Amino acid sequence: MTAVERSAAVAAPARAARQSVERRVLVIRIVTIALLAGCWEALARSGLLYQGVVPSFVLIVPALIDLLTAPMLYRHLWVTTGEVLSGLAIATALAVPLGILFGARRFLGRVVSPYVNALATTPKIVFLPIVMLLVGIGPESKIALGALSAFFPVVLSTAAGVQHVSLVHLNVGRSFNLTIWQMVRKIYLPSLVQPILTGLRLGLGVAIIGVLLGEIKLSNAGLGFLANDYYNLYRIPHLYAVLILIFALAVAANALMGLVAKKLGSQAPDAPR
Amino acid sequence: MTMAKSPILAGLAALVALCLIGEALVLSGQVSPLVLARPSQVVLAIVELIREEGLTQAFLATFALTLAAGATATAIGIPAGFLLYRFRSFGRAYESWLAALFASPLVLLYPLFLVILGRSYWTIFVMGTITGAIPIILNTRIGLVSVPRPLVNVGVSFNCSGTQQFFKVLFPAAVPDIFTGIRLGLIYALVNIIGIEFLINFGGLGRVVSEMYDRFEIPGMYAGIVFIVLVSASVFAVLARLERRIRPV
Amino acid sequence: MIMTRRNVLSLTVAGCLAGLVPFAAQAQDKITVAIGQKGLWDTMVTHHGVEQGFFKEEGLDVEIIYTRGGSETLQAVITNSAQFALVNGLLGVLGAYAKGAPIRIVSAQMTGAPDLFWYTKADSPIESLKDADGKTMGFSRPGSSTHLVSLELANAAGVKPDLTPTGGISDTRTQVLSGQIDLGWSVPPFNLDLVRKGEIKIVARGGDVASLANQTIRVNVVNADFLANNRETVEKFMRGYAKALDWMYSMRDDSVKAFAEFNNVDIDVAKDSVPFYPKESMAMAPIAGLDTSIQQAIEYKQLDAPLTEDQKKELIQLLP
Repeated sequence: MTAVERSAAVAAPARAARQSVERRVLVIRIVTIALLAGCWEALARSGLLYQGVVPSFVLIVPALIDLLTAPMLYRHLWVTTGEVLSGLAIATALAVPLGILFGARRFLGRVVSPYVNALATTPKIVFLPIVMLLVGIGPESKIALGALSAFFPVVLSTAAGVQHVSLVHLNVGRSFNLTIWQMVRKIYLPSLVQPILTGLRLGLGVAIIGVLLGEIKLSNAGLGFLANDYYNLYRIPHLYAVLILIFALAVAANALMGLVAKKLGSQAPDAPR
Repeated sequence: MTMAKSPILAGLAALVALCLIGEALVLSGQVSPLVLARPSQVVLAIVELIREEGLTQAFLATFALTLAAGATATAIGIPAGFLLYRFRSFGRAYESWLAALFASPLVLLYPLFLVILGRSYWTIFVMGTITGAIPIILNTRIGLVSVPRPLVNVGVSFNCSGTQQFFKVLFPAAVPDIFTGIRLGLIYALVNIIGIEFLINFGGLGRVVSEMYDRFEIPGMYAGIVFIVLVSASVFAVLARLERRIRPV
Repeated sequence: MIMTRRNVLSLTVAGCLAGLVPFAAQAQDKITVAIGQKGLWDTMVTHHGVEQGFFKEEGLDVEIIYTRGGSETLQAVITNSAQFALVNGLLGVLGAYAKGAPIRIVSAQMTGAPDLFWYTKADSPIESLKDADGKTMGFSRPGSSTHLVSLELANAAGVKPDLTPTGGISDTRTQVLSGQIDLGWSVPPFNLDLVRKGEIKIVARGGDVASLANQTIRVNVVNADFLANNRETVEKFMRGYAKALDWMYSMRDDSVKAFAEFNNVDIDVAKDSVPFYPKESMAMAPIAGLDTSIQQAIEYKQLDAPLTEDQKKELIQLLP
């Protein structure tokens, strides 16, 4: 056997094993979906739960189509997306510099750490009243809540990341007498890409929750408002349609961030080339 | 370390300074008392809330709900994570689904649980448990999958039974990841519990904040928020203590 | 000035701009109105005002934000996100004012509580409130008008039901239909479709209690600074509002049709709703039974002490 044939002979069974696992995974997924859908439909028709709470697919699918073809949906979608993205942008603009500061200046970091940690684990929805008292009840309050929610994962992640910036890099920067701004731009930021992205991913998730909860509590536009409206009008199939849309978008956004992280991660200074 | 250099004292000093600035801003009329409550009023409000509005009970309710949801989420999450590790195909099949669920705002399902379970502590508990369990499942599986082969082999070479393998080799090695999962689970559980209390005006501290906001009792509202921060800090202090006990150094 | 082409052009442009100035001055005043509870018969007055052009006649461009009711509507005005807050519980307004909120009452919105009704499942043994002793009876939240009215109704019927906060109309409905509570509260058009279908029956109405008819329970409010600086604009809005209110009751067919469309309900359900709102109950003046309301506000901790005469005069400035 030649070397090529030998390696092919070794590779073939491994590939076959992988393919059989993938096939099993696919089967498991299909069966699970079928089972869940079946249970749902059975529950919907059984009358066990209060009627209407678990509507049959026969009702949900038309509601979903109705929703997706309604022009007003896209106005609400635009509002929510805008609020989330603005909140993330503001959070990042504040959290990255502060994170670098807290990470680089040890004493300052230790001073603020208990407060930042305590606030980080506090649900930000409770600050909504204060936010609304400060900036009114419009989209600004939702943006502020999104920014507040996303701020903490990013600042904590950045501060932790700063502590891992290579000393060699730092010393090189100092030996070149770089200004603070140049240090940040040339030394810190390139090494912080991964931690910031990790923080942003978590931040995206909590920003979405914050914005939607804010819309439910008080607003007249956005997907959260729409969901709340349908609930109050007791149009449950449409409520499910909006929820399905929201979940799909959240998952897609998260997946997108994951792709971005992977792409940028391969360009990080210490990444294997 | 001299007193001047202690970070804790410095932090407290800064906090006191901020409170004094806040007090001055409101007293001088720069900031409306409807936006920022004077810290002195907040302290008074805390006393009044404890005496008249059952703040202690609200605190205990939220605290208990969070611990109960966290404990249940852990009791469900670790075995589930283990099963997903043990049965690899299922693990691979469901992992991305769970990650997707983790990324979605499950709290939006609360109206449906409201309808099924009623306007009761059960709704809040169930939502807290579900949202808390997902990161625990995910991280338990990751922790177990990442146990280095050599460690597993040591167990095998000692002819460990399945249970022994789990408790002496796998679980200890996976503990750091599992605790990361529990911490995330608790955060999500707390966010959801207080968020729902706030939205439906029922339950513990979230309800207190919502009611105080409704009645324009701004000092009372801030008092409620302070207590929520306290709940959050207490829950994580408990977790840290537990982690120190269980986590092998 | 030499009439070069450039000069002629400049003069022309300047002339046009100068000509536009009067038009700019006539442009509509823009105001934002926060309204509690979307789509009830009595909360639709402003909507009709916009649709029928009554506000435009007064030179106003009105934008409406609907809130979920409660104090959220007032918050909009306090934070100046809106100039007007319509449909607010009077007790909440009294409490907010006492705590320094910059608000003024410009009209009554609802006097008496003819719109509220309580219902049970169709097969329930409860036929009227007299059967409700010890049964669970829902209201929205402590200190709300639903709370007060349920107390009055229970007292009038001589029974002691177990009063329970059940939240909003949707939440209440599911709690009744799933058997968690016996009596639920509602306002039209909600749940009237179920009444028509025979799934629930109405056992008590706010209009049953005569004593309530003399108490204003909801008011319309304006931001105090806005009133001080723009009194004319406020008067214009209230005039437009009054015209819209008249229109609602004089052009009944049109207003009922609009009501049905706005809420996505059957025209029959819409027609069933109107009797719950006698025109007199929506009179914009006076604020009736103020002292009773003040007493209740103290009882429910909205107020610490009764309002002085000066405070009453400052708070209540009825317009137009």
